[in-house]
Amino acid sequence: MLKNTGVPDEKDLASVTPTKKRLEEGPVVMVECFQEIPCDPCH
Amino acid sequence: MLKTDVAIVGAGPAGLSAAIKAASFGADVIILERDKWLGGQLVKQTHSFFGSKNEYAGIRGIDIANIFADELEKMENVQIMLETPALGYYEDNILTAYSPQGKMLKIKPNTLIFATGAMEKMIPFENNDLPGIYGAGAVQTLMNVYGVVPGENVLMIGAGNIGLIVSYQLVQAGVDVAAIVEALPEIGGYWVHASKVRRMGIPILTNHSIIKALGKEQVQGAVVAQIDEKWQPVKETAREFQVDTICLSVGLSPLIELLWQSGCHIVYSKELGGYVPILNEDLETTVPGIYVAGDASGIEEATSAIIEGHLTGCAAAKKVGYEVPKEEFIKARKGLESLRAGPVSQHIRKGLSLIRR
Repeated sequence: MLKNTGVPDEKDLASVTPTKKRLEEGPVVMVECFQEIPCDPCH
Repeated sequence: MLKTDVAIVGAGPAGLSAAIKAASFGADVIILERDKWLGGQLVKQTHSFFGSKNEYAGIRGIDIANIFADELEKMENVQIMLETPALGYYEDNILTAYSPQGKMLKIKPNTLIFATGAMEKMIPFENNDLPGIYGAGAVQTLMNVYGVVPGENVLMIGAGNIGLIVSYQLVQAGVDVAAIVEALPEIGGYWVHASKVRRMGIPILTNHSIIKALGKEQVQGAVVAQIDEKWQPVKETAREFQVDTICLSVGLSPLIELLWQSGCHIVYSKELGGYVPILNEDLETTVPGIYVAGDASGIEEATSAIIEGHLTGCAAAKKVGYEVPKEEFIKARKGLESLRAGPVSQHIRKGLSLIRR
């Protein structure tokens, strides 16, 4: 769906969502990048 | 007659990085640029760049242009000629250009780097010559360089990175984007961009195409329909969008007219956007001493253009006798390889494998 409409589904979101443990620790940046693209500043 | 070690045609990311590299090893450089400013398409790119952090990713395109311009200003062996379009290249290795004073200039360079960039493609549909139909790049220039919006409601054709980013920038400028229409079954641009514009409320219609533009004196709407697996419109799905602007983001073609004049070997590559020169690992054409960097050698991104500029700058300086450490070449080649390593660059790798010698 994401690749056809731009709308991520639960599976897409799960792939970029921080772990439950990390979420419980408090606010965290969620990098909403679903693909391996030629871009490295976030790493 | 002007003489120089390296002449560079085009002051975009490829040309500027080539100039900085070649000059840093001692070569005399002349840059010819048809616009009034340095930076090429960087000047309209108000967004932070993707790509390699080593090549300015995370910095806005316009700021990258300023970084290059500041660096070149300090170099005494670089002559920048703005508003000076290159006109022709002749058998006796003479490049001609037209000065802002209206004079025909002749330049005899020892080496030549073409960094001429690309032009926007057009697609056929009924009424595609109505006022109000623009290339997406043209709209980006209009808004971000001249501060003019193209209209109030836009239909974007093409969901590649340019279509997605320009749609976002249109919304930033207060313009309504009715939809992004894409003939392919999948979004061609990065999904991170696609999800961002979708979240702003812009529908992305894959497997759809524009059938015709509506209006007599100017665009007043557009008819869009789903297309089947044979790329034929499915009539019953046709619907109208009330827009005053249609923006085409349907790909770019390398600008290589001067390369045809040089007599170098040129082939057609679907993957690289059109006719492109055959190049060796230094990005030298089949005519010794003539190099190509950036989109003119195949459509990619600004980051690869910058690294190709580095590579050709090194190669041209070396060709005319300046000492260039081989590590410089290795670094540039590795940088390009790493940029092109991922799944989204598969078509680039395929295209390049057919044109390298």
